[in-house]
Amino acid sequence: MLYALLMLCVLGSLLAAWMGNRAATPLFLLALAATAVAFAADVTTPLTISL
Amino acid sequence: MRALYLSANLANAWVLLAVLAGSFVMQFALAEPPCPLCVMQRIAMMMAVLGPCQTLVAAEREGLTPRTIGLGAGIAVLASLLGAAISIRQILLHILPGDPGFGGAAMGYHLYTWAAIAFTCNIAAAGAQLVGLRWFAGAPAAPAPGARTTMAALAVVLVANILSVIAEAGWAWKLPDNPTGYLLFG
Repeated sequence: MLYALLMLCVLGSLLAAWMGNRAATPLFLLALAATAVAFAADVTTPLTISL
Repeated sequence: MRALYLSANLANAWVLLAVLAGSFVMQFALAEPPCPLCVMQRIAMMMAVLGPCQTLVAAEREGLTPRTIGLGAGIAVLASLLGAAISIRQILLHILPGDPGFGGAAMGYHLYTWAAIAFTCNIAAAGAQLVGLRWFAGAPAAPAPGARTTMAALAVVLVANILSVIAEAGWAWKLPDNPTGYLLFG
């Protein structure tokens, strides 16, 4: 669900750019920041992957 | 110069869309559901495509100005930097000798290695746009052929990835670190 929400945010930015809405850039920045936070959480969480 | 610049932006967007489509095909052809890092790289790559899309649509609406070129290149650089960080993290996770890596390989490299190469090239392309700002800026507003088709293709890729990740994670908040199937279907 987390990644689906992030992609919905990117989709929102795309639709805003399509319609010429000024929300396109803030939505992009929101998606970028949220993805960066998700990445930081991934980096700081021990992996459960079996190598 | 305007036509050349817009063609370069279109090519930039379609190369990234082709990489995204290729990863999607490999996901189903090799039955390899993407891990969280793979999904985040896809998200960063889709955000990187927003850069050329913004420039193309702005060229139609307000012409090629330093602001519109700078905004598109800036979006591409920021998204690519994040994507490169994620793919380098995944490369480093599998860098030890004897580690087979995650997932299948395409032309000798794993998809996260190709992603790191694509993000690096995208940063270089955005840098070239900014270096050539003086030559590219100044064109008046005019239709940009292919702009809407490219944006529609990105929308299709986004929706497909949203459905895929929902199928993979089920109703869980996060994906498992080492996914082996689609939790929505049991």
